[in-house]
Formats: sequence, C-alpha cells, structure tokens
Amino acid sequence: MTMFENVLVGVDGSPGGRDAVALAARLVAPHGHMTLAHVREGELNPLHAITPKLVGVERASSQQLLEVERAAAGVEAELMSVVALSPGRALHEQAERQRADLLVVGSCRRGAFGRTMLGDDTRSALNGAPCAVAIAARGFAESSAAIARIGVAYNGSRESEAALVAARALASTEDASTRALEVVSLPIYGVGPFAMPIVGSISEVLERANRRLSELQGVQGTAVYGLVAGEELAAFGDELDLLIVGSRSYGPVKRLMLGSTSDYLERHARCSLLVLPRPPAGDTAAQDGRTAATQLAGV
Amino acid sequence: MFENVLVGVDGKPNARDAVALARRLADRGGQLTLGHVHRGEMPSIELLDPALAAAGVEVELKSIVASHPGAGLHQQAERQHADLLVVGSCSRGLFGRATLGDDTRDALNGAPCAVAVAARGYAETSTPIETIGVAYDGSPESAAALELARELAASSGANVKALEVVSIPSLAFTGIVPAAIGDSIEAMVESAKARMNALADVDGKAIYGLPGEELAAFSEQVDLLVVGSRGYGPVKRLVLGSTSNYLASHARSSLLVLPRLAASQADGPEARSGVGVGAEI
Repeated sequence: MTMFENVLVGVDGSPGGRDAVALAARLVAPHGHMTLAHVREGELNPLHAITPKLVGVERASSQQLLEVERAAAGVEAELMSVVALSPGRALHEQAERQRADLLVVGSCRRGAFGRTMLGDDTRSALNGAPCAVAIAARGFAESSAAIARIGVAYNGSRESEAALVAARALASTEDASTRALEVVSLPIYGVGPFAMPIVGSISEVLERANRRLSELQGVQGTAVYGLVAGEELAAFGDELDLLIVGSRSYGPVKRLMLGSTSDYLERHARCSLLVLPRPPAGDTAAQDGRTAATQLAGV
Repeated sequence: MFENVLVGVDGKPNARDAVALARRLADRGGQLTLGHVHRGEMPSIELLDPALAAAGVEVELKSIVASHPGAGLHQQAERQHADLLVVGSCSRGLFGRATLGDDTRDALNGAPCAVAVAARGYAETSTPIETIGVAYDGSPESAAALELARELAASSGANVKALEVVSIPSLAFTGIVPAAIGDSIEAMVESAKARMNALADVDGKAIYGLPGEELAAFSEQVDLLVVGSRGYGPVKRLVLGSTSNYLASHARSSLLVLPRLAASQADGPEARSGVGVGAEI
C-alpha cells in the first residue's frame, strides 16, 4: 500500500524545514518522488539586482543548503532552487507545475513547540493549493520518527470519508492506531447527509454520533459537543502524531480551500496536520471513498 | 457591469446596505436576486418582503437552506452563475467601513464570481458613487480592476482614483522591474508615479508601504474600492490573498473584489511568473 507519489517540500535551513522533510519522508510512497525546494530572492532583491555577483553567491549557497538538508535527513530527493519573493506563493506555483499530490511545509518560527503555526502570508498563499498540504508540528524531526497515532476529523461528509480512507491507508503502512473525532455542534444537523429535525437534547445527538462512529471499522471513535469544531480538533491533537482533515466541502474541486475549521487548525493544531483537497464532484460518498482509496493505494 | 447579481439579505440594516450597493453595481436590465439563507426552520420569504419593499425594484427572491449564510450564498452564486455577489458588513463593524465576519470571509473565499462588501450605513448615506478607487500594480488582475472602475465611472458619472503601493515584493511580482530599482525607494516611487500618470482619465498616486494598510487608508477618500484577487491559484475564482483578506476586514468604504482572470484573458502564466519564479538546478 502506498501513499503520496509526488511530494514537494519547502526547506529554508531552519528547524521548521527539517520538520517538514521528516514528515514528508513518512508520507511519501516507497517509490514516490520527493522534491526539496528552497525559495530564494535572486535578482528580485534590489540589492542583488545592482550587484550581480551576489545572485551567484546566493544561488550557490541555496544549492549547498539543499544538499545539506538532503544529507541530514538521509532521504532521496530532487533539489530545486526557486526564485521568488514569497515562499508560500512559490511553493503553490511549483506544486501546480510539477503536479505534486502533496506539499509539506514546516511551522512558522513563532509557533509553540509541538504545534503547527503558519504565518499569515504563507496561509494565504497555500489557500487554493492544487494538492494536499501537510504542516509539520514544530520539533517533529527531533521528537519522533514514527507516526503512531493518527487522528481524523469525522462528520459523515464526503470530505471526512476521504480523510478517513487516507488515515486507514497511512495507519496500515505505519502500523499506527487510528482515532476519529466527531465534533457535534447543533447547526451541523440542519444540512448535509444527516439532515434531521433537531429533537431531544445534545446528549441524544451525541449518542447518535457515537453510534455512527462505532460502526467505523478499525477506528476508535469519539464524539464531543463543542461550539467551535476547530478548537475541539486542535485539543484532540494533543493525543496524536498526525491529524487528517478534509478541506471545505464547496468551492473549486481538487483544490484545498480553507474553511473556518481548517484555517483555525493551521494556526492551532497541537500535532502535525494534513489537509486534503476537496474531492472531485459528482461522486457519491461511497464512490468517492473508493476513488480516494484507489489513489492512495496506488491500485 | 454586472448582469446576474445575488444579494445576501437577512432583514438587518446591513442587508439594506448590500441591496443599495447591488442596485448601483447591477447593469440596467440586469437580474437582481435577493437570497436569504436559513437552516430550514422558517418561512424566509416573508422575511424578505420588507427588504423587497426597501429595494423598490424588480427582484427575484430565493430562500436558501444551508448551515451558514456565507456557505449558502457561495453555493447559490455557483448555481445561478452569478457574476456578482453582494453582502453587507458584519454588525460588529464600524459605521462607514466594510467588515466581514471570519466565517463569512472563509465562506466567500473561492467564490465563483466577484464579491462586493457594502460599508455599514451605505443605504442611509446612499449617496451616488462619486469616487471609485482602484488598487493598481500593473498586474493583469489590477488592469481588469481599472477597466471595471472606468466602466462603472462612465455609467454613474464618477471619477476614478488609482493607488499603487510600492513595496519591494509588489514591484517584483508585477513584472515591471524598473531599471532604477537599486537606486532608492524614492526612485521606485517616482517610476510608479510616472506609470500612474500615464493612465488616462485616472487620478493616479503612488506611495511606499504595506499594500493592505495603505489601501485601507486610501479607501477613506473613495465611495467604492475595486481590487483584483490573487494572481495565482484557481482561475475565475476569487481567492483572498493577504491584501484582499486584510481589506475585507479593514476597508473604509464599500469593497469590490474581482476573481482571478482566466489564463487566456491574462498575459499567460509564463508572462506572469517569468519574473516571479524561475526554477534552477
């Protein structure tokens, strides 16, 4: 069983970049392709523009940085030095060019240890990305080589089914346990596949969610009540090495659009985070699950 | 101008602002739809009647069931192939400013059409649009924003002001790298000013600063600020970059954000990213 085939990783010589490489190495398929990309300013930096020698120096040090990072991580990877002023934008566009199925970045330096944190500009740049995006928690490279505990944000939607399929595929290669959390907030029940009149109490709704979760095979499911799904899922991350979530269920397909929950998690998750793009439209939930399974299984 | 306009209404004053702005932006003879989003628990058409009376125009009413207003409007805009979606400001916003709540901002992100946010109190002040501001940086998206501003100005007798905010990144992304880039920020601002002066029928200015902040301050002098959305990502969709995201919560006038152009309408991806990105090794 295989995972992502064409993985792009952003590195910049910081510990965050090394966390990203370490996470990418766990998520890439055995025969998959990994690319380490370093974004440099090149002649876009006015100082460089008037001192051409500096561009050459920067180019050489960029290449050296990439080689050092590759050697340090002990991975096989293609190296790429990209000229741009915004790292997030450059990675987004490079992912489009190389048709990556996963883009991995580290957390911003301001983030707390063990948590994910994206800077505002990077978050804006990754919004609408053409592939899945993973954000390594700070310290991932040092703390753990294995992903033993995988969590899934589940709510019965097609997007969350796809996340569950990805989690199972990954769990089987990593020998990890899979847990699912459903955050029940009443408004969810007015729409979607489980549309039903709101009758009874929150505890009844919780019970129903728990029953649904207990039917998921090989997964330990829990349902909690919370007003803000992002907050409950971020806290759930305390008990996990990787949290997998689908992206928003409307808007452009095959793109990762940040809804309010994934947007919140990009800044607050307490473990590494994997956000999947919106699955193509027109499939039923079951077909969709199979498609995702096939893609992930490389069948 | 816009032919197929969807307006989000909820019976609050902010919705009346949205309807007033939509009437200004819709083409004569264009289709205006008032959409009310609810969770399936109320006969919302009745609620729309006052909004309808206030609008005083021929409109279609649509009752939309969704978990969240932003989500419902986004989906309805896709269904009816709207070319413009107009919403009011969040009720926490300041008078005269455009403010979106977090959830609505996220929901409108990726919308299939242009999105306008009416400043709070727009319906009451209800002055015609006299001054239209454009965020201009030479990119295809900003050129489209300028073109639309001119079109709107022509039909309403307004004048157009354009601002180019020079920060080193924005200069480099536009593909316009002046020969004098190394000289100084003053030289960069001067060359931007020269570029702005060359725009016909437009009062153009250039300053150095952070684009979001400077454009928010600039919007104080205009009745409507028109900006393009981010120049990469899904085409024909409005994706909020860091500047439009900032403006969606800080603009001091009504705001109109245009979606990304289709590749054929722009200069092509090579031309745009030629300066911005070049892969090596």
